[in-house]
Amino acid sequence: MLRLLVSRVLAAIPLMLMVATLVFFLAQLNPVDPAATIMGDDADLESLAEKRAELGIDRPLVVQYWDWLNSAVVGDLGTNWFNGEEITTELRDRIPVTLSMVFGSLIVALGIGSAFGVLAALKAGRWPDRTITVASSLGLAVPNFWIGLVLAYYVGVKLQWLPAIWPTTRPDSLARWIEALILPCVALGISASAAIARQARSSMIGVLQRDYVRTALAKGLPVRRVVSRHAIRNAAIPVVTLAGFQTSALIGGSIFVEFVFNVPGLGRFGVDAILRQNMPALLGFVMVTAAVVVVVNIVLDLSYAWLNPKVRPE
Amino acid sequence: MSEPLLHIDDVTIVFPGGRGALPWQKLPDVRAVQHVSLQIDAGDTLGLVGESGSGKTTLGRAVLRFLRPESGSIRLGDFDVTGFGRQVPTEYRKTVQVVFQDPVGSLNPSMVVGAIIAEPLRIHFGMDSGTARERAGELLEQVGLQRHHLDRYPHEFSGGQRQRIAVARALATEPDLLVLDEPVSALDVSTQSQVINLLERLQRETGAAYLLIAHDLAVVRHTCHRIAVMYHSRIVELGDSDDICERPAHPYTELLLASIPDPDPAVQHVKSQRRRELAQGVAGASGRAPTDSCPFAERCPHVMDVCRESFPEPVPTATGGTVWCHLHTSGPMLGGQPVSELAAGTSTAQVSPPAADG
Amino acid sequence: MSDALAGLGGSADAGELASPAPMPQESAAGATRSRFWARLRRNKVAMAGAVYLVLVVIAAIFAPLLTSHDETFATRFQDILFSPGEAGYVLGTDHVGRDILTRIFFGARYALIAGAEAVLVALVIGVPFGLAIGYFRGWADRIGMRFVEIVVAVPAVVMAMAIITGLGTGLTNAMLAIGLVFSMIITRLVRAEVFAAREEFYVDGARAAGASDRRVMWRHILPNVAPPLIVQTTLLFAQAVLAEAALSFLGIGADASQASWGRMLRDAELSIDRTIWPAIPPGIAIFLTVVAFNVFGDGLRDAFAREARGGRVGVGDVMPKERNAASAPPWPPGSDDPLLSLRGLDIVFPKPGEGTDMTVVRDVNLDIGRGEVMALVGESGSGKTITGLSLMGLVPDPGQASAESIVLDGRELVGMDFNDLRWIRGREIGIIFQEPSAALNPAYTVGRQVAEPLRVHLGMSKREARERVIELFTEVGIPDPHKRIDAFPHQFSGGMAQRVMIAMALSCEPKLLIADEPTTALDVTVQGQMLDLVSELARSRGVSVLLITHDLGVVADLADRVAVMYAGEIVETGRLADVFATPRHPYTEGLIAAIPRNEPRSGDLPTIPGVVPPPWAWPDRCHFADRCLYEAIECRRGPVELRPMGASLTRCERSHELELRGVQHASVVAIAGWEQPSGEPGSGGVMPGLPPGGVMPGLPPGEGGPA
Ligand SMILES: Nc1ncnc2c1ncn2[C@@H]1O[C@H](COP(=O)(O)OP(=O)(O)O)[C@@H](O)[C@H]1O
Ligand code: SF4
Ligand code: SF4
Ligand SMILES: [Mg+2]
Repeated sequence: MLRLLVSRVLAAIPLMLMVATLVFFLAQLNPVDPAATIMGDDADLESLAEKRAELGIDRPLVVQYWDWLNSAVVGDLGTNWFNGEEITTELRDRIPVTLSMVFGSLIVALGIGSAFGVLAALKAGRWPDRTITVASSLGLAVPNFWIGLVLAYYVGVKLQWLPAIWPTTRPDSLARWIEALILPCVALGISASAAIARQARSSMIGVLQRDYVRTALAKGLPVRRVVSRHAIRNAAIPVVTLAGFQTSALIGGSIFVEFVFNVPGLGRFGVDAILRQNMPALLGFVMVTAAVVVVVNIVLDLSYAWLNPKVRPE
Repeated sequence: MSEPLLHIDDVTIVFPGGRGALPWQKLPDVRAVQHVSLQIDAGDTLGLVGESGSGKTTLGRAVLRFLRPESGSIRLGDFDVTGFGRQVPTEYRKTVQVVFQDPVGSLNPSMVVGAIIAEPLRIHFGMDSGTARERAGELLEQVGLQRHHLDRYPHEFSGGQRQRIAVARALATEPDLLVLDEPVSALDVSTQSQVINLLERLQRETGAAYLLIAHDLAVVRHTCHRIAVMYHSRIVELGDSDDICERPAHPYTELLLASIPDPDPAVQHVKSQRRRELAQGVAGASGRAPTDSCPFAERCPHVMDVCRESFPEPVPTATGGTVWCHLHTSGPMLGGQPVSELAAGTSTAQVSPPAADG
Repeated sequence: MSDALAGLGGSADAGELASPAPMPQESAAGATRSRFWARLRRNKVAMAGAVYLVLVVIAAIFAPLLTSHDETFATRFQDILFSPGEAGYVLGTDHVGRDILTRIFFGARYALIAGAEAVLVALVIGVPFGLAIGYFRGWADRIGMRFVEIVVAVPAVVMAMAIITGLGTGLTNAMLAIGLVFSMIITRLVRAEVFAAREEFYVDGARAAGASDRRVMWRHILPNVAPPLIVQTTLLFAQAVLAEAALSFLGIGADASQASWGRMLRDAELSIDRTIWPAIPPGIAIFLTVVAFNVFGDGLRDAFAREARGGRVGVGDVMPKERNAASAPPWPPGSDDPLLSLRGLDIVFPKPGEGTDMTVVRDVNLDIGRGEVMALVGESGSGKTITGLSLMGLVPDPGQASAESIVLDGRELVGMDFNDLRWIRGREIGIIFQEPSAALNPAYTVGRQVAEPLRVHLGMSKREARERVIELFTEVGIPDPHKRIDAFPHQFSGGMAQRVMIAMALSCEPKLLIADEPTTALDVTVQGQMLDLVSELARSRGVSVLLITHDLGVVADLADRVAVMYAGEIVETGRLADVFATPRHPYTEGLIAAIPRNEPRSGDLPTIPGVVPPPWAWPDRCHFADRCLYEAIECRRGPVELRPMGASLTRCERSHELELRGVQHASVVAIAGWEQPSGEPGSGGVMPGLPPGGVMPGLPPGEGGPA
């Protein structure tokens, strides 16, 4: 296991490097001059040039890239062009907010999705299956920001049960933190639960057809034990793979949900960066999300190896 | 007999090892075929027999030029097969055809039978679709199916019928050599003989040579004039079918023969007794094929020290074949006599004692 | 899975063709395609989705005609927000007074155009890219996949945003960006499918036939990649509609002048402190459109898939059946004190593609004596496996078994429900299967799996069970049992895995062992060892064995009695010696003749012409008639009964008059140097002359001879 971990971590390094390179040069395609965006339309040429020199974007791209990379490696992602803050500091404040949303909904989605998926598989073709299948197709189609709006309006504004938007001051207790998280997590988690339920159902149906399930039954094990011991573990393998994709999708989705609930997370930061061509902010944002996805995938690889002895290194 | 049709000369085939769990780890290469030499005369059938994983398929694929040997040469008629570049000449594809074991996977599920058989006709003879269809119909009838089957999809046929379709496609180019890779192994016993009879009749009609890959010596004996026995990447014995099947000179050949169950209980009793004496160790060949010892040494009841030190040199057998076994040049110095003459004296550790004695 | 089921999947129609009966001349190509459409049409949900999508397309095309307001027109009065129905606005207006209904119709345009744009980009890039790296593999694949990996390491939306930063905002650029990200999904899918297709022998077949790389790619690989690709395209369309809405909602997709659904939601948010209403119609429009694409995609997937639907677990017990005294004479017991006695077993399955039932096993009776090895033989598809499974109440789901009685050691099993039967399974009846590696759970060590019945049935502790497993492993000849017990199934060869299965099956000292094709998947040299092991263990423990096989050679090795099954019926049964020496049914004769033996060749190999017909084509008379060389007029009268003939029972109208050939004495009895069989070597007349109740020459009493 340790060896697997080491190898995955080592493989992640060039991957992150390539992501950084790709995004850095992709973002440069835009002909708009960031200095002009920052200074406004009425800035004169001289002050624009000054600004460019100050930002360092008058240098050749390769030099800029190399510079950025050198400081990024030691954790310095540069300075925000617009407010002069350290990007690293800004991100540090926002990461916990987004991650608690993402992992909150992922864990709930895994729980709910797997339970319903397995139930549907066991009742294949009968009403619980049909209900769950329909519900999951609907859940998959709900735009998270829309359901967020609706929830914020009804549950937050009308019923006043839960905060409709993120508190303006940092939540001071765990309870308030969780309270503020509930609606965004629900909005975010619905489609993930639906996707996981569907995957769990289909892989469970597949596994129940396998010879080893027949063997387990032939040993005289109770059906419950056959399902819980012999089927679920194998059916979990594709679900774990899907969970990897879902993490990525949830991070993407959190951008919209944060927008709706006014959550001071990574997503808002990223959208601002794009709308204002804020290069260091955008790069920082992309690198952080990529890092989260890569770390999650390493964790999933390890659990994959635990579930499936065949992929364990000998 | 003039020049043989197919010349396989000292061929070694290596699959590069994959990557290990760690990025810099490289798994060792797999030597699937080592120093194999074989010949097939025009219109003749050579049986290639051995257990799964022994390298039969790999050798067949090298003849088809689906892969390139590490060393050695393969020649067929005027073609220098090992000398081909990336593009295999169309003319060679016309000359050599193949039938695979898996009757389900070997026909494109999205094409009708007519299109499957017409494809080689259109490629090699440039037939228009009408002519190709006409000829495809003839070929179907030749393999015992009917013309109206042209418009059906492969999944609508049974295993034996699909093998007939595969044979029809292979014969479409009028090949000189047909590689038959376990063509009947996936079929029921009764259907097996139907396909074998068909292949024999077609050989009489077309004069094509066969390389018949199989694991069942009894089936091969009926079909082949000569048999090569392969074990874990090596040819261990080569000779005329009847000699191989009655006077085997290699311990592995004898074990194979003893393993064919016979429906006559009296014969079967003798056979299983002999098999129990011969079977050493409990498994088939496993791990990587050794480069410098007899690959059968782990299971051989007659194993000697020299067997673990070098792979034996070829020795001509009393019946005109060739055997690769140290028993013929060391120890009992059999000198090409059948190994079955030897009492399995060295066999002691029997894993399954004969039931009859118990 | 089981023999009788083998025909139910993709090859379901084989038998129609196989029977020599005149063939319907309709084009099968058309038939297969029309079956696809029929399956799709029968799927009501998918059809509803399709209808909805057609409506969306109509709304999009005729939007200007269907509405009386302008897409972007805003009233001069700021902050006019009509509720639904007010002032002639069916769905009301948004906060600047634009008609919501009009904007919904126009929004359909943006949704479809945006979706199409993204999907088109994804396909145009993804398909050739995926095909190329899938086909050329090696370096192309390594570099290509590294690139895909880089792109998907960043969440899709984030990557799209990064691309949008480069391209600039706007609907077209946004969808281009989404398309680029989706193209990675398509690339991966196509590559995986090409990899799978490349492994198929038909691709090798086409190459051998001389097809060029291009032709192989377009004619052979692409058509088989198409179904998953079509399904994925439909689902991506849904994703693209969602993505368009999402990006427009953020303001980096559609701009203010475009009435996209996402843009409408963005505008609705501005007035959310007053009313949520303007957000509802576009939300529902997005939602329904995505649902429609998804259900249609799912419908396509189901219609493409040929394999049968999943069955349930926890069913499969045998239902009681009334004895139909009129139809069959009472079955003579095959043994004085049978361990297991089965009467009147019927098994039905739903006919594939149709609702009607078909009988796959009909009125099977079987007796297995104590300590006896009973062989059940026949070609695949004759119903052997499910007959065996029914004894344990494990008939696979859509199947329904019923029987008059199954008595095991004095206990009636028919009528016991699935859960009660679990005290029989593993405890009283053990089973081993054809594919040992598939029969073991890949996720657990073999030791744990073998220990499971010991713990469940015998209540052993972990440690006791472990010790017992080590003993069992030693008994079945697994070397190094202390170490191997902690290995996983994939670390075992086929033969070793089968030994593990045998250890598992015998762990609770069952009275009956069912061995379903225990050697078919193994190498020849391992087969014999396995049979030795089974017979030795069975004899030393007094276990009865039901040996299921299609290979009569295997039967000769260890069976005491034989039941020959053909097309769902037992056609002959009797003692091994009798059946082999003097078969009473033409099918048995054919099977015996077809066994490949180590003999010098003489002419064509004997065969049984034709193939086993599928269950729905079984005639109401002798099932074997279409393939029988001896068929005559009396064979056509009606169902044939199983009747005593000689020392056996046979289901043949003509058995009294036929002279059928049994096992011929091998002309070469043994190989040079092998011990000659005792008795009269080579005399050729040993078996037919076997006296009733006598001992077979060359066999010590108790082996192979009569019980
Ligand atoms: N594509 C491959 N990559 C690596 N090893 C392979 C490959 N194909 C076959 N082998 C190995 O080569 C050996 C011979 O296999 P094969 O030719 O399939 O034997 P056979 O035809 O007798 O079944 C086996 O050890 C097998 O694992
Ligand atoms: S060389 Fe040695 S080990 Fe190999 S088969 Fe001959 S006697 Fe046995
Ligand atoms: S009943 Fe007639 S057709 Fe059937 S097996 Fe007997 S002889 Fe043949
Ligand atoms: Mg092979």
